[in-house]
Amino acid sequence: MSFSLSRRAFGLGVSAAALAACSPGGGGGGNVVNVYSARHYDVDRTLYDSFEQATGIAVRVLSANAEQLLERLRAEGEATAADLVIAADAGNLWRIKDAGLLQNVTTPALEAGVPARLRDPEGAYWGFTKRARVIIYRKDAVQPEEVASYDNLADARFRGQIVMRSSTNTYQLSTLSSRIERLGAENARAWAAAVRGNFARDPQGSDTDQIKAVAAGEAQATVCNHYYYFRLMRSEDPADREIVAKTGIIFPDQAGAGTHVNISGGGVTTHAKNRDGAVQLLEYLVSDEAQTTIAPLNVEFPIRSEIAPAPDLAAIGAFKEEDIPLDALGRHQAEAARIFEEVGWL
Amino acid sequence: MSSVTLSNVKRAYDGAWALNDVSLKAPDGQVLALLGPSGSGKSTILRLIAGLEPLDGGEIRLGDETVSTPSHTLPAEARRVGMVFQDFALFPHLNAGANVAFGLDKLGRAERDAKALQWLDRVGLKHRAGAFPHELSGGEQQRVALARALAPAPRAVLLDEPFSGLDPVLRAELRDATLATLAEARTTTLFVTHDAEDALQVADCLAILKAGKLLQSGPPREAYDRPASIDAAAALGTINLHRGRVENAAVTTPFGAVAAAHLAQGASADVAVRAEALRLAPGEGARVLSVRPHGAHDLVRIEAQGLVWRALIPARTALGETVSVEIQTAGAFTFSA
Amino acid sequence: MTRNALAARGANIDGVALVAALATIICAAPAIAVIGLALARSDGGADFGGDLLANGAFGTGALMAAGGLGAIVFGAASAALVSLCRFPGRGLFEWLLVVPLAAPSYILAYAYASLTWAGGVSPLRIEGFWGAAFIYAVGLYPYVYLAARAAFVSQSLGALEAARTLGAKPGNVFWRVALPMARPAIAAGGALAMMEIAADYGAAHHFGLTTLSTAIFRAWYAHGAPSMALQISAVLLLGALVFLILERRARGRASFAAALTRAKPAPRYQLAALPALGAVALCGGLVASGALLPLAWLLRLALLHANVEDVAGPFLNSMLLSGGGALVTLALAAAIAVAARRANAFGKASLYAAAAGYAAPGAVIAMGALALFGLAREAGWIGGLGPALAVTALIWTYAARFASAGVQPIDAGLTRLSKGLDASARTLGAGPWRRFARVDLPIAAPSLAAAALILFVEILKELPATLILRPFNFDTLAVKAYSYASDERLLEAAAPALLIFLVGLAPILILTRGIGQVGRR
Repeated sequence: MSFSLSRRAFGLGVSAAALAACSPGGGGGGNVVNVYSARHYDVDRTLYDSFEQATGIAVRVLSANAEQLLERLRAEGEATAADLVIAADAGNLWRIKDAGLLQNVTTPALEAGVPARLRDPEGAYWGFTKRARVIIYRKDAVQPEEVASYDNLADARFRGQIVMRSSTNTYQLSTLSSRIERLGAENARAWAAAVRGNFARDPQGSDTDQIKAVAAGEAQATVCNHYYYFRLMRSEDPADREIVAKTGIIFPDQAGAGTHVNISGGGVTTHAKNRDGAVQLLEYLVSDEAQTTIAPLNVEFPIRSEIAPAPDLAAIGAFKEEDIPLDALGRHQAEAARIFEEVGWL
Repeated sequence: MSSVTLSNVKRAYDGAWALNDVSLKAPDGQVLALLGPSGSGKSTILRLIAGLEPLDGGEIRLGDETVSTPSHTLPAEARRVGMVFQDFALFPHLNAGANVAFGLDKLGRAERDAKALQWLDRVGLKHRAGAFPHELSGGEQQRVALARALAPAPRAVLLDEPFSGLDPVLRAELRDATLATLAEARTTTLFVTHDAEDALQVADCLAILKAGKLLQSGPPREAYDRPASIDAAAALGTINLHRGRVENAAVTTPFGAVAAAHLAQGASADVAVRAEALRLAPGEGARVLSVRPHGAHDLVRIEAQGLVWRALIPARTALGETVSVEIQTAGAFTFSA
Repeated sequence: MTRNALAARGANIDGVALVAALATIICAAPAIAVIGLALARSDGGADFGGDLLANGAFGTGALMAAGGLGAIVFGAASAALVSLCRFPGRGLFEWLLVVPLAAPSYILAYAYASLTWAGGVSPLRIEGFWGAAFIYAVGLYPYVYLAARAAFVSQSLGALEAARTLGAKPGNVFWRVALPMARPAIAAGGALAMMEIAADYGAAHHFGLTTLSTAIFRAWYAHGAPSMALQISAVLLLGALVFLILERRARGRASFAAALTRAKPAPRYQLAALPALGAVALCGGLVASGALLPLAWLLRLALLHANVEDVAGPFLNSMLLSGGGALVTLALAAAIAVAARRANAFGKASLYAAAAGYAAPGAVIAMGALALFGLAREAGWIGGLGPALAVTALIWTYAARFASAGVQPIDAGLTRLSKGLDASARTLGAGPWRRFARVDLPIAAPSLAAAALILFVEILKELPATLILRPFNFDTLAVKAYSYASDERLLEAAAPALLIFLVGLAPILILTRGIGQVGRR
């Protein structure tokens, strides 16, 4: 008994000591805000550092998938160290709220900065960046008018010419959720089935992989988040420039209901130890300073309508956004997943 | 069936001779025992005959066919010489029947299985055909190994210390059974042993080896009765030694005189007397040091004039503290020293 | 001592059995928690998401079969060539063939996707079902290679020579004797590879395949139904258990341990020109596909974007976590290996518990551990999941997940301990713990070291559990690589991915040096 246990204790002791060395400070409260973030962009760290310089409040981050964060929050319950949760999709935020893990916070700064459509009606979560789901098409095979709407992707004209990423991805689910909200489940199923019938291959890879496939001529169109394409536009790699040269980008349904738009946002946890600090951080994220930093660095749209996006984004001008309640994206996700499975779009 | 002939065979490892100019013949259908201590080269002889190793001098013939010379070695798989290894080397992934059938793949399926069963029957293990090696006892494994080696009707069969590692009772049983099987099959057999009794019981011819050299070969009786040297004598049983001078065609030892007619007068001579050639009776002449049971005999240590000899006498013979010693001529030898 | 007191009272339980029971609990608890939770939280009955379970099961089965078969063929063939034949480069390949162990499947997947899909440089596409099977085969064959090589090297010379005297030509000696004698080892290695395939998430996901693992995460992420995820996990766990039982049953009858008597190695067989070329092509091809090619590609990408500060912290974290985790898991694996040899109920139970843990995706085990800590918190035993407890939970998860990988090499080392040694020690008055410390341990020390290295590499590569359970500001190399790759920034992912590869290489090379020593001739 002694041999085995003492070794284990030793191992634990080493790990605990190592850990103590790595993460300074005690628990939450005081001048620290603990953030569970499903975003993993380097620019975020810059923001947190600026926040710390401005307010003296340190930001500690744990990043993981939103679902994993959800489970962790659920398990931790009241004893959680997290003060703020940040996710890259409204659907995820809705789920976290639905699990009772977010508390409503409403402040004048937040209300002023975040459009009503881009936040939870009860104030559980607030968007601080915006992303649009756009159509990328191959310029030498497709006219812009042919992909003016998401509906076009279901046309017989595109038989064997569409590539899409897996429907497990939260962005795809939100896209279909918004359609369910606007046009009902039947319509959504019909659309998904038709698009599925146009697949050039089974879903695989990421958004960028779909763009590359279109550029390579394996397909003629796909949808993706706008910033992936803009990153390619900004890249200095000649391969990326070539991809951009061969493809075009459309913000769909400008003549119709508008382009599907999603948010990155955050919410204060129900059992936050440093509620005030978390709210301050949220407000900071929608402040002038943050909004003008995020945008250029990460090619997302700022949440505040009066702040200009980065020049290359601004160049496309204003675009019509889909006008649906934000929580619809989360409410319909499970159903969207089921529909995707039924039509064989996994 | 073939005879096996070795002519001036030499084999070296790492610069040392394992076999140095060995010539012997196992006649067709007979059993030749290779007797000697560890390191005498007897296992090497088997491996050369089997074709598992090349030789460095001389030649080996199977019948009329030359199979090994320094420049050419016919591979083992082409020789049709069967071998039973010291650890039996049964294939662990095959049951007894499949083991025996292994060398029979030239036959059709049905014939092969029938023959395998036949051979298992001959060694009394037909009922164990489905058992795997790890499920068989040591004696059973040995019998399966024998059946396996004999089933393909080899030209000769080689047994490497086949009875070592078995208890004495089983040993005797197995020895008789093996002999019977081999005699029935009329197979030319060479087997290696360090146990004199095995050799004397089983062999038609005997070859005594030491340190890579052949000391003597011939029928067991002759090897026993007329050993060519002290080493040859020692190979077949416990012997007692004494060095002395030849006087009047005899050498005197503290226990008696031994005839030495073939040696020159006054020459230095070694006397070797087999332990079983000493007769003890109550009387004077030697002092009894100890009496130990030794199977059907008693081993008695006797002392005279500072020399200690050992005698094997019928068990439970009554002896006093002193005995008179008689040396039987049949078991006493003299050699020039 | 307590043991003597117990023995005096006629109790049959010695310290080792108790430790084995403890080990069983440690390994099985998260898995049991998963199953328990699945049952408890079934909101809406047993909802397996309809076809999701069926498709997932089929996908996993098919990949295990295809990838597993590939790994077995590659591993056995390369082991046979390297152990039994002589050809140019044999000595080099002997250790080089193990190198693919350093790269986790998901890294190979990202590398090959980047290399061969649209925008890559290769006309041949590694994608879809067969692409994944290929990646599994070239990434996991080392498991089979190691086991098969150990078997070939230790085969009894007598059996091979006996086959020759019975008329079998060298080729036949291999097919009819050497290979079948190595079959249990090959099967064991193949089972290990198949379990890795069953547990993989990253590669299958990236290639768009539906397996039980991706179904679990789909249920979790897409459906937002952890209960469904848990239920599918429970199915995966039970499936793994059944697989294991079947595999052991199949191995049972032909118990080859007894046959290893004179373990004198056989002289190697010189290959003629054309077969030698084939051998070099096969071994070279395996090493290239499984390691060198992806490594080179990642290196190229990493050099385009090198950011040292970015990886320094995660590097340190990886080393600490892997080192500490490996030690703890080693202790657990050793306890299980020793107990399992006593072939009593405790031993067998702990073996199965460890194996079940190995088959489950890391994320599932982590969820189980999380749930257990949640229960403890609700019961008021602990406050919350602070850093110390998070690391404890993480290391517990590693132990439950990887103990099985440590058991195999330790068990192989313990095989060298004969019953005679144990009995001699007992007649000299040594109780079970003294025997363990003074006899078993020193003889088994090399295999303990080997196990420790293997565990270090496995934990280094581990991703899903680390993602879930790690404390604040504590990224490992695996987490870093995954974060970037899943954000489609393969350029930035290359550096941490490369480091995982290289850091994992060092222990593997140390291990394989040991391989070269055995049977040096």
